[in-house]
Amino acid sequence: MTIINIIITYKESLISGLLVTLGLCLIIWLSGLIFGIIFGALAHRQKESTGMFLKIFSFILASTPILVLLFWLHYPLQAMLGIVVIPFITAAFALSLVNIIGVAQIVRDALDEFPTQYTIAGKVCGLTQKEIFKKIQLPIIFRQTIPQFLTLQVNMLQLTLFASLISVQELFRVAQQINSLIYKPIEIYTALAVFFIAICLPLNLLAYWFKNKYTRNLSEK
Amino acid sequence: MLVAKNISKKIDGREILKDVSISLESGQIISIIGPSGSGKTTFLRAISLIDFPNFGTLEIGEDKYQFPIKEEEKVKYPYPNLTVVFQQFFIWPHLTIRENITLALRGNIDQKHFDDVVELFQMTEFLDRYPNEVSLGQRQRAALARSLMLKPKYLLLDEVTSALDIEQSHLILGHLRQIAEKGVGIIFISHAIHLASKISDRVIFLDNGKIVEEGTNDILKNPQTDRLKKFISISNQII
Repeated sequence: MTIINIIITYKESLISGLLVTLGLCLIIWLSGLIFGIIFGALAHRQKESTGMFLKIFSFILASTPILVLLFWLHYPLQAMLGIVVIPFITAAFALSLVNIIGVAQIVRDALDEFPTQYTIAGKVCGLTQKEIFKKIQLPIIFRQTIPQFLTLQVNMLQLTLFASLISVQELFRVAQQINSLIYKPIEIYTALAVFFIAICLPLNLLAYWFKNKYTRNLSEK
Repeated sequence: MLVAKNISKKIDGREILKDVSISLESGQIISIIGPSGSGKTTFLRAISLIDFPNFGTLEIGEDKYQFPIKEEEKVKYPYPNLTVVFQQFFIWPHLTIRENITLALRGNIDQKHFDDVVELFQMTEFLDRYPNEVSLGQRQRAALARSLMLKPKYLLLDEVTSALDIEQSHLILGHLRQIAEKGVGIIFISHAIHLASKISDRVIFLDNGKIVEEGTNDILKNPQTDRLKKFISISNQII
């Protein structure tokens, strides 16, 4: 069986797995974007409270393997609480948490390190706070953070593979199941690699392009 | 007229400025000289309301300020009638030089004034480049142009020639004289005596947050205080 034959034969399962992967990704990306920005901005403004919480939480998360986090949320936590949550929700929650913390750190660092002199320069030129935010701070911060943000999102897409380990029927798990039926690991996992490359490579290239185009030296040296 | 009286400023409990007073008229250039750490930049930041002084009074045209300020959020800032050019120019890196010098005009560009400023600072060739694509001297000129596009009445310059070579510094000083002749009051902060002596109507020597000596350019030739004599002597040895 060739790769094409496998895809045609198992198209329904593959599409179903693909939709689960994309759905999971969409939840992770959107939650990271929305809550990560809010959390990061709060951590910047409230350094002693939210900022400290973010620091501690990100240290704990950075020291915990994703797999352990997923398993812990899926098995012991649910047993302790006496609840049953479907694996998709658990995976979405765990990976969203990782993404939110990652985005929040990017946003907080960008805000903390933003040269205040650029805003002072705007102020002494007679620009209002709103204009300074819209025309100076936001574009500079966007340009500085977008490459890191895209790289993180690519990593998050790749991390969705771990969801298969708590039985989420995403693309990798579907590929594993097909392989257990027909045993064609080279063809199946090559097809899977092509799928991830097709999505991740353009995103990585976009991050690289943004980095080269927009990441200017802010030091004025 | 810009009048600052008894400006005092403490930072972390340390007194940086002690009762500094100054009076700047339209078309006048006042140089404030002094060693590093003498309080020159703190004074400039205080009178431009970037960092409020702890005590003193300030008049900028019609606007009067009494320090300490009680309600900071109600302060009416004097910008862009008064504007500042910093030692590090802080040209916005995401905008071209053209966009940098016109951003604060909100689209209301006086084309003749724009052309005059561009010509004065010889900026035509690099107007559409980004700040990281131009030289330090060109960025310096862009920072001055950005402030002049606002048609300020008072221009405060903080060590704006410190990163430039002698030739570029003299070019900028020539421009400052032209700007002052158009009625702009200029405060020029520098530690370089030879530059201050070339353009100033008045010179103020600041040391340890206090005015030690002030007067016309002559004080640089015939200093009355030992501190200024020593400062000039050391400066001359370096030059």
